[in-house]
Amino acid sequence: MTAGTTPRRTGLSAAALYAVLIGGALVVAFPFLWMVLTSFKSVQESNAYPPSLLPEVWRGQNYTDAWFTPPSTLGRYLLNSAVIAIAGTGIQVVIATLAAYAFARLRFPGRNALFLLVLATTMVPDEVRLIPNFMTIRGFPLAGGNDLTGSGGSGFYDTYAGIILPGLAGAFTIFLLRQAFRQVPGDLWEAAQLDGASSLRFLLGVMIPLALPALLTVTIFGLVARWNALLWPLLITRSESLRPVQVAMTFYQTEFVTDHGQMMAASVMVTLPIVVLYVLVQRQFIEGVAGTGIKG
Amino acid sequence: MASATASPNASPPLRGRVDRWRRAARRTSGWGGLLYVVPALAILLLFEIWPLLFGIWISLWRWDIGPIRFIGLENYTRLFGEGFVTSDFRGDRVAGDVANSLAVTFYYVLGTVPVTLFLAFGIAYLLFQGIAGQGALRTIYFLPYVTSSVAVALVFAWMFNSQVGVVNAILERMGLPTSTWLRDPRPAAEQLLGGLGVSQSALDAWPDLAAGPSVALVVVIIFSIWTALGYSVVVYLAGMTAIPRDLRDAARVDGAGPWQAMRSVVWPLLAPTTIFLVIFNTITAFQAFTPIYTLTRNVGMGRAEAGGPLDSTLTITVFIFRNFYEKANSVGFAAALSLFLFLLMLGLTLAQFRLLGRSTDES
Repeated sequence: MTAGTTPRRTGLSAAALYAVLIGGALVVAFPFLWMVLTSFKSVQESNAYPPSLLPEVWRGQNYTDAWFTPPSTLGRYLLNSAVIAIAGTGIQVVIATLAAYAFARLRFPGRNALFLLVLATTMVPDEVRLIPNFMTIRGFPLAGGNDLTGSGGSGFYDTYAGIILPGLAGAFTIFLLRQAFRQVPGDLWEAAQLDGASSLRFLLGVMIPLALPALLTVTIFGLVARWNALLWPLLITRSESLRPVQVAMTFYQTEFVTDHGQMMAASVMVTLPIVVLYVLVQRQFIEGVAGTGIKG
Repeated sequence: MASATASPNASPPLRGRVDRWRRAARRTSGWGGLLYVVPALAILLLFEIWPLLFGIWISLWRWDIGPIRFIGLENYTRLFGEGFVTSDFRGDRVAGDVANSLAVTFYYVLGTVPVTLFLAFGIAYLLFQGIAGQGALRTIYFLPYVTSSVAVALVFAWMFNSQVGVVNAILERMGLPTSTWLRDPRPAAEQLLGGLGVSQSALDAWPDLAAGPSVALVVVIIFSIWTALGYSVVVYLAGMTAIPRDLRDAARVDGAGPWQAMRSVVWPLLAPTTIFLVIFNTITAFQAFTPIYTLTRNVGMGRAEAGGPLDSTLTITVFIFRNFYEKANSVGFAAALSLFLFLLMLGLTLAQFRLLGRSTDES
């Protein structure tokens, strides 16, 4: 995507082009700007009408207030989200790597039929799974005080496991990794077989290092999707101390805070980790989206 | 003489290699490979395939925290009966809650997807003109997609605040009328036309169910376009970059300007990209929950339920959530609704495939 491969401007005036693009970028960026500016305003200032663009005094008080207002602090929610995002994505990538490798390289009975089954699950929208999965998680046998038939207790309801479990085998992730594994040249595989390498050793020693970009892409997608998720964690948790950040933010909206400066300060702290991740691995991220056209 | 095929009279070293190769091949086929896919299949079966059957089962019950009473298809007769046509307090026939939800969902999808694609194509094409700073601009346009969440939706709710919101302040500065935005359940088109001087009696003649999105829903749509835009920009831009150079050069040699090159080369060649984006964005919009839940809760008078004001932003997804989460005894009905939504989306996706696929075959 360098300048050399794209056509030179001819008819369009460069100035107009820049004006439109930069104007559009300002509109797109304005909500972020407004979030940061409001987060430094006092109550009087954030409720003044018409609002001023810049805070009169830049005060960081909102940040400490937003951090300490909820019973178990914003830090606890950030930690919850980090645990859910990292553990969930980590386990998911391992499970998907094993499956994708087998679907791409190994021969076993029913391989094609099973792969079609995996693909077919992408047709089922989240809403359909919501209610049954809630029942499955709450009635999970031998968990959370449940007996063998899944009654008596609350299963994995209101636990990290309950939040993480249903999303552990993303079909898209398996599909993307299978594509990447299939691009590894076949003669490497034959050479390894002649050397007597086991299939697991070949996966760890050759496939994973060669498919690292694809693995990084699905990891980033997984982290971002889990950090931003709302509906499932909202349904499956009850304890205040177990809430991930996005769920906690809905309570900032209704319970904790009436001061908008403080709410925006919380928003900044919740959005910042994902912005930092995005800036760090931007190229991988955007090329992942561009190359696959698929999220999650 | 040794034959060309590896046979019993092949020389010993070659024979050893063949045996080793066969042993290795055996190791990588057979049941061993199945072990690798067992964890993934177990999770998929339990949480993606079983829910379809389990969901059908739940929908046949009056179900609260668990099954209470088997009622057969009663949830479905309610869905297709009073869900579509019911009577109001005067006894007049009016549209039911499911019909309202369907209308809101279609307004939301139709308001979000075409505008997103139109803007995304335009922005991508401008970025594609080989300007300096393309990367930085792309980064900014993509940012809302990455951060789409409760936290940024709260900023929008704050910007569109009816009393002290910055949007009203800007409109007022420009001499334009302000609005109560997320608190306004009236149809946006009616507000706009009324503002342009169309008489109230002419507006009253229009049927209620076809009144278009409410002002509140328009704010939700604006937020959704803002978050969805970057994804389509990036996919379109990648598609444009992949167009072979000689095709673009040919257009330039023929004396085509950027506008003509876009109409005759770029847009037709990107038809598959457009089809993918239409389907992807439609599915995403049908499933949207976070924007509606965050923007419309707690802004009405007293009621904290999402989907307000006056259910004018109550899409099917939020309607399912309301029946499942906020009402007792409606879990079975919510399950029936979610299966209805599944079939609706499946049908729509297949229809889009056929319609759009055919139109590109012809061009």
